[in-house]
Amino acid sequence: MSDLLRVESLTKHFAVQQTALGSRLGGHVMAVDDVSFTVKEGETLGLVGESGCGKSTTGRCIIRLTEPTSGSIFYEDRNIRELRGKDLKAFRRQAQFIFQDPYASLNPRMTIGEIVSEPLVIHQEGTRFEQQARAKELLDVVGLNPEHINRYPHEFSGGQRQRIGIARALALNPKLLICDEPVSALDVSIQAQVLNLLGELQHDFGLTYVFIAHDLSVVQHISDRIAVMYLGKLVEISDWKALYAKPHHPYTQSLLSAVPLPDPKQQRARERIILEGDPPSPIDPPSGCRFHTRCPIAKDICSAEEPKLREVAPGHSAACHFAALNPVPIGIARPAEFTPIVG
Amino acid sequence: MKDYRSGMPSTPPFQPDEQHAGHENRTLWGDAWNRLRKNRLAVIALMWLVIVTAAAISADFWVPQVFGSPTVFSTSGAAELRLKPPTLAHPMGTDDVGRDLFARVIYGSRISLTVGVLAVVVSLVIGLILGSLSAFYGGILDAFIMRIADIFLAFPYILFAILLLSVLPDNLRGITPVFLTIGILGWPSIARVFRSSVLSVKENDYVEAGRALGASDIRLMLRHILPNAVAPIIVYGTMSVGGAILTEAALSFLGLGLPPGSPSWGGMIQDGRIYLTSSPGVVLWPGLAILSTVLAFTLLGDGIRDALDVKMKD
Repeated sequence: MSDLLRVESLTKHFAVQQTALGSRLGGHVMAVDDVSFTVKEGETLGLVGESGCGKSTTGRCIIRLTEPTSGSIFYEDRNIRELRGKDLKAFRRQAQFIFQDPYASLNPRMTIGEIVSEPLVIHQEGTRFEQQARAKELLDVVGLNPEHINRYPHEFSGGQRQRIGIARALALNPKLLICDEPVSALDVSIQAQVLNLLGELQHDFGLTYVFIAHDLSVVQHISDRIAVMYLGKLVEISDWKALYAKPHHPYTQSLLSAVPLPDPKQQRARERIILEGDPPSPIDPPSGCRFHTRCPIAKDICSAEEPKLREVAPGHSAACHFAALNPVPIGIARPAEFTPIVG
Repeated sequence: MKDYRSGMPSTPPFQPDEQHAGHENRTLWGDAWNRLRKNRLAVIALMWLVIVTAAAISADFWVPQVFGSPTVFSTSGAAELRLKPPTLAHPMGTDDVGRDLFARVIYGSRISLTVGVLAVVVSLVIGLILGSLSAFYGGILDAFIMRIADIFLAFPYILFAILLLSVLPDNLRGITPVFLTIGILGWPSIARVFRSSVLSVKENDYVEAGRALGASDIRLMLRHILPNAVAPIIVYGTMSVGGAILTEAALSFLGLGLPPGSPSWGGMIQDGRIYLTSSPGVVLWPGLAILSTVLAFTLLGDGIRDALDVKMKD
């Protein structure tokens, strides 16, 4: 499979304070700092990290909702940062976004028929009648009753609203979907339904996903590969099985140790790695390795020199000075064959 | 479909909830109207405004025939007709030159309502455009527009209006300069209210979703932001009509509004001021007309605010 998306040295800094006349005071938030990865056609890349690590900003940069400070994003070998006018509109047909909050992502003054067919209206596809028919078809695809086309979003529950958001994203037959924590605002039982729906849609329509989440137990369901971010940096990226079996970066290890295991014996036997303190401020990130202030195995070199992302095994890279020495973490017992918990 | 990552059950068929059955196609505006109908004060205010408007529109067909012209007065036998107390023929009495007060109050509602509504329309057109540009694009444009608004707000309102109207040549006096002046002076408040409302609405994900779909700025503004940001403006605009009527009355009282002799409520109070002790009706009736109409607009605006507040949902 070829690369559908290639992100190279993506960097986004936000100015902290802006005065009325546009001059800038204070520092910059290093939301995303020199992040590179690729996404193959038809696969799902899980993008994981705690709040404020820049994973959503990365997703928004990919579909040009946020302008990056520097770096390049190639979609089918075209740099999307250079797209203007017609080309940008054409790219919008290819890449769509699913939002985290289903209560904020649907316009309360539009019927769900209008919401789902809006992409067709914007891109002038078909007659009104055809748009209406397509909207009904899409509602059916995401498991909603097409007869509800004239209802308003406030008449639906969170899970139903998220399905409407998915239907809207699918309207133009995109290839790439950026899912920004699409289930974190939903009940656990509804989460499983929506995750399964996303899986089925990927299978049926050959979609490529960038799946953003703060919860490794959610991404493990859907991801082929997983990228872990910490404070604007990519710290580890790998095939999901390898990442769960042998996490190299101490941050990934601590994240994995927080995922509850279904077997209580294993859960009790496991040693949890509890990180101390809060993540440092992204306005003034720590020197060297950004994780060294909370890392259980940090040495002198970690505060002096920034570790580069390097390959520790085929298709598995980590940004840690001790990555190769630290392959199997203490106390993380992962079952060799993983079975889903939800569903 | 079923072989997608074994172990995951396929999506169960979705059960639509039927709790909204019978409320098919309920819109948010429809909900607001239902809430407004339950507010007794607002309904009374609305009915009063409908009566006043109906009287103003239909005045030509019955008022002059029954009560006499509001402007023309006969010179013959004027003395007997001057400053009469209310009778059946003249339910509010007559003024100092024998014109029927009821006719003048009815015709005065034409002027007051026209000036009030058109002044607010002028404010709305300027205020909505500048307020939305300011909030939508931000940056230097925002700073520029808001500083101009600040300059307007720094002037004493009535003094500014007096200045604008007093430089106007006499042959141009009429309704148009009055509502234009009031409207132009009223835009900064509308722009500010709308700007803050747009600022909060444009942060919503559905605006971002529209942008991600490739919607143009105009579409985002008209389809997504405006319908969700307009509620405070409806309230503010309704109340502003009352304020504009008051300003027109004040300007007419000061002799700067409409030409002398035209039946404007403020002008009638000015004309009747000297007879206040002997025939208080000359001042009282137009005063009551101003009071009731302005109060009705304020109460209606209040009711609309409550009706549009989703948190007060029944």
